[in-house]
Amino acid sequence: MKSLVKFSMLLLVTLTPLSAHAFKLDTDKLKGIVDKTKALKDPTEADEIELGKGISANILGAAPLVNDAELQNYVNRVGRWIAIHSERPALPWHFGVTDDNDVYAFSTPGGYILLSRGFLLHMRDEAELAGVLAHEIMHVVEKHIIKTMKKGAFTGLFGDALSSYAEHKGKESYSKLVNGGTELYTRGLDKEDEFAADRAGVVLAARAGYDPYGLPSVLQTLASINPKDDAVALMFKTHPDSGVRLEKVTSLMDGRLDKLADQPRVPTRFAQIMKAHVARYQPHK
Amino acid sequence: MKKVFSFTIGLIAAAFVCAVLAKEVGTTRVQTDLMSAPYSDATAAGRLPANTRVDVLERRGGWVQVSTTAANGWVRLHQVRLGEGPEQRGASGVGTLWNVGQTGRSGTQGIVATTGIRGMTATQLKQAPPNPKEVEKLEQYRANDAQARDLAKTGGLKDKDVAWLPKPAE
Repeated sequence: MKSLVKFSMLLLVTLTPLSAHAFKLDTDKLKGIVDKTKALKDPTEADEIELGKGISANILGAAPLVNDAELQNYVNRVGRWIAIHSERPALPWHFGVTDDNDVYAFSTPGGYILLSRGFLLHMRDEAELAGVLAHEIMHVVEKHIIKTMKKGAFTGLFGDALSSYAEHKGKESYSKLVNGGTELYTRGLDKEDEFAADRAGVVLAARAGYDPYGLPSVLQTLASINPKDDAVALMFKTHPDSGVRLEKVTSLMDGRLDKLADQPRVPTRFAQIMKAHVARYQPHK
Repeated sequence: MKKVFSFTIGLIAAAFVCAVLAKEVGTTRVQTDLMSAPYSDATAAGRLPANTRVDVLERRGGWVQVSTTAANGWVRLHQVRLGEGPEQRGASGVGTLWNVGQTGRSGTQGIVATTGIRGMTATQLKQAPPNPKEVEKLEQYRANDAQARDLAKTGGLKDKDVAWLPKPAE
């Protein structure tokens, strides 16, 4: 479909000399969009990191981090271990647990990944945590957020700022870009990008030595939560149906990854960490 | 004697950890074949009608072991919904798996409620003022490669060569 649109654009532009007067206005407009899209360079890695930091500051403005260094360090070590098996091991990967009983996880460009305490409380073992983090890591590795920002309405609004991010730092266009990026987290990514992150996330978790069925287990949990529960409102609004995701990813894993189901799930360590966290938990005032 | 003692301690510790993770029940989504083992070519071990309440005993890969008073066997993850009763509409869904109500204590307040102190809504996400101080905190928690490798080692995790899954045909 996408290539069809591209092809039609190309066709229109090619036809211009023959029927210039008839299409004058439209083709000018079209050419502008095509040029703009072409001119958009991918942001540099440093730009990505700055953008991720800015979006994270916005998310953490809505829900701060859980004040529990042991829990935060643990999640960072699990996340880092998985990330070094990815195609972008050198990014400054950061993982944070927000003090929020809702259920969600966000990845922002440059490797800043946030997940809620409520999500952790719905997990059974480390392999489930690993599956969720691997899914988020794949969004960063594949630059799904940047891709979405470059697409559609974002192209006109933010395109220029996105391709020369450093020059805009500290200016109004910077916060416009960061806020535009944050807004994306209320609408979600392309469904196909979510399925792709599931597909690649289970493999990434398996490469790091975990039972790859951690993510499917989490999807089973999510598929069992009443969609009208406020705790999942944002995640369900921004993601394809969990049951559909579960069936899609497990049917691909059949005959390919099911032999790796005896890799560790690490339930005991996860239980100890969660038990200790719950016992000393102090909510933000 | 020593052995018996440490075994007892281990048993108590195991019981304590288990006690924190809530026991799970589920409901079959559809009519479901029970298998005698977690493999698609295992022998059949019975059949459960849709909306049968089951106890969830064990998980292995893409399978869960379930039991009813009459039957016991393995079913696929997507065949069972966690929680009891018909598909919930409007009422509260699955609670947290960790028994926060029993173990979550905070200062002199005692037990902390399970339900949210706040919820992340789209509006909050758009309107909340940025909190760069929390980003600084986040950066302090960052782990290095050595710490990550140490975690993997103590967890018995080993690198594995695994091919990417193919993109399914449209």
